[in-house]
Amino acid sequence: MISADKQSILMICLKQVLSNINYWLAIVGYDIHDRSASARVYLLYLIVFFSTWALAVMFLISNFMANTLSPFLASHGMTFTDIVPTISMLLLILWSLYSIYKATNRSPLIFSEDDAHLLCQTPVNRRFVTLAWFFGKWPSSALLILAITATVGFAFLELEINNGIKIMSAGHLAIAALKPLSIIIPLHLGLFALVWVVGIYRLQQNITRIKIMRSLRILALILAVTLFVVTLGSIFFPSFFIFFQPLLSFLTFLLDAAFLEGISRLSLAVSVGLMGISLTLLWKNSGSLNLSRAAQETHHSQAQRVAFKIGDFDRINEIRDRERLGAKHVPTSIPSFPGGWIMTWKDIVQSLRTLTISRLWSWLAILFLTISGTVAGVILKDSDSLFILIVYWTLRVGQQASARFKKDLGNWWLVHSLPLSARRIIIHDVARPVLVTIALTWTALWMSSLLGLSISPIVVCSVPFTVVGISFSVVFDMLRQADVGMLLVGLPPDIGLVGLVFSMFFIAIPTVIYFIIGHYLLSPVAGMFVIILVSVFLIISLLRLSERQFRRIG
Amino acid sequence: MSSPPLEVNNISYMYGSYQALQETSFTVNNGEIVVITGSNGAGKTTLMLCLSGLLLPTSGKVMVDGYDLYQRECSAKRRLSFLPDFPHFYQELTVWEHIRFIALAHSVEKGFENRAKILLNEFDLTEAKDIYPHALSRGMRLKLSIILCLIRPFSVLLMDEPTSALDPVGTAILHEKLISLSADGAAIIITTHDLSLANKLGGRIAQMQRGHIDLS
Repeated sequence: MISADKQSILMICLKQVLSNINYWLAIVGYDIHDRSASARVYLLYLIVFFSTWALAVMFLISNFMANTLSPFLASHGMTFTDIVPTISMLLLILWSLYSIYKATNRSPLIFSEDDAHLLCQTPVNRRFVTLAWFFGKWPSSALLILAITATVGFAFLELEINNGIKIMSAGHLAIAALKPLSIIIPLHLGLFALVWVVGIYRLQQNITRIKIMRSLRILALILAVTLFVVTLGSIFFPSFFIFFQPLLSFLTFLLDAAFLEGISRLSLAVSVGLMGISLTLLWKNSGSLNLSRAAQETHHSQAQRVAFKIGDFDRINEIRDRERLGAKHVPTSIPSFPGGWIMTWKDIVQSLRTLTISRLWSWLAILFLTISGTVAGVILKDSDSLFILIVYWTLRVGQQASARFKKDLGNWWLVHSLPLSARRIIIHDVARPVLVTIALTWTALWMSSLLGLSISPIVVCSVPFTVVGISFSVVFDMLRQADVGMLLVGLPPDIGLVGLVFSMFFIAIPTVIYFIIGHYLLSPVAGMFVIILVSVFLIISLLRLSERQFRRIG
Repeated sequence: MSSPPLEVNNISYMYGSYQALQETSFTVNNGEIVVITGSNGAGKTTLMLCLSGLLLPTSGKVMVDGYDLYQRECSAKRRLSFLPDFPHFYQELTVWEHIRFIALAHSVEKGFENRAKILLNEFDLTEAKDIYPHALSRGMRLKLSIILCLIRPFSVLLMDEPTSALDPVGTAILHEKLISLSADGAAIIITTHDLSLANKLGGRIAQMQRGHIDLS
């Protein structure tokens, strides 16, 4: 009979697994509370549809491997049957080393804040918690690798068919997938357990173990780089890396057995043996596991996962920024001046402290989208792709131009207390991102013209008006949706449909004028004049509306 | 004749069909302290949000030193300092940088550093001056927001439950500060559940019930 504490652990674990399944079911529109017959039929349909879809994708990829990749490799003097086990081995070991690297920094056991309070403070069996969490997490981690294994198995079957087997039956397919899986499943489980052993070992922290972890990190890094170089070297320059061949043969022994040679007792024994040893080590090490430490390390990442699931990317960025910022910082040496200029000082400090590659990429995306748009519009003349690119570009510009303003709205108490007018705050927050966006868009147009694309001067001249118009449309939309209760708890609104529709007006104005110039002999100068006139009128109107809305929040 | 620092004329507030704040009018004069008490949900925070301009009342108007808070907001905001019950901060600025930001935004440049250091010392935040707000405890965050309210000039000070997370030493310092600010002529309104503080401050004490307050 299972004890009460173990029952509680299993219940929590089961709830987590069910919550994950329910999330995906909710995404595909299945209501788990609906017990009607039609809902059950829909669930059955979903299972059949997605199983068929997954199999179809796997067949498509295996077909590509067998009929395109294999001849391609052969034409370059390489054989598919040699390359696949080697590359698979490389990927599996790199994944394991990366996971070990991560486990030396952060616990593999992830607990939410609720778990930290409800579970980690209780004297539950640590070993049981570890194994329950381990087997709860393993399927999602293994799913992709198992799907790739089965796909490669299908590719080998297809190669065999080309070499003589006439009929591909369900039995053939099942054997083609199950044969490599019988080796890969215990192998992956063993490696996954090994990663957890490292993580659990680190959680029972003392000075010696901290040093061991540091060495392990460096070792994992060196091993990964060495293996990467040796494996690729032995594929592309086999004669140069001939000395490493025995090592590679030793490492690929299990995968050769899985994909090529058939299951031998030795390969199965090694794979299952590795799994057994790793699980035993995990069991032995997890007896005195510090759950509170694990929860302390991971509740932020659990919060990020939850935020990701509900699409709250602002919350994710906030958590990441906090982790990056740490607890303290020496005062900035950037000079500050009294009055409205202090807003610029604040923005510079904020921007410098949260500058990341992903934030830079958000800006560069505008550049690449503009170039893609000109290629789609000028070379491909594909109006559908152009329309999608323009809508996406508009959204990106709107998001980037209003990011600072949104952040200020999230600190409504402080911003509202400033003796600055609504107009000044709006213009101040929007001005810098608008200038950067205009510069990026012009750069992209200039780069496109260097590529030989002809860009109309109307497009070039209308960029500032379009960007400013989009920015004010988005700001107005945010202010329109803003609720003081939400702002005071740091939850500003996002861009809505109204903002997007208003923004599209600013795209439509130059487009219509461009069309009129082309078809009705309107002079380009007059056209430009009309664009400026209409855009400026709309921009001023939106600014006035935004100011009014700013004062009326609440 | 000069205008009183705070003049409230017939303000009321409704959340949908729920009357959170019944129509009320009152005046707070220079150097006067008004303490508002009342049970949870009585409407204290709604009143403070309306007086600070963060919430637009359903009816009525608020005058700060003769300036209409909802019409001439900039002039009014220069004279009004407000402490909310759950303050939010910029997570990229440290304690010291927040103080600098608010002080310079209100054009307080001369002697600002000395004043800031004194306030940090009084509220025991000197050692935390380079810490980001997210790394502060709730009480320390409250102390920071009190400093942000006090670092700039004002004639009206509004504080919504300023002692809710303060330690006894912090409460005593705040008490002294309020007395001294009142002596300097500031009009102060605070809401609190701390009746001993209310009695010690010695100003007008008003009980708020179901959105009704009588301060006339």
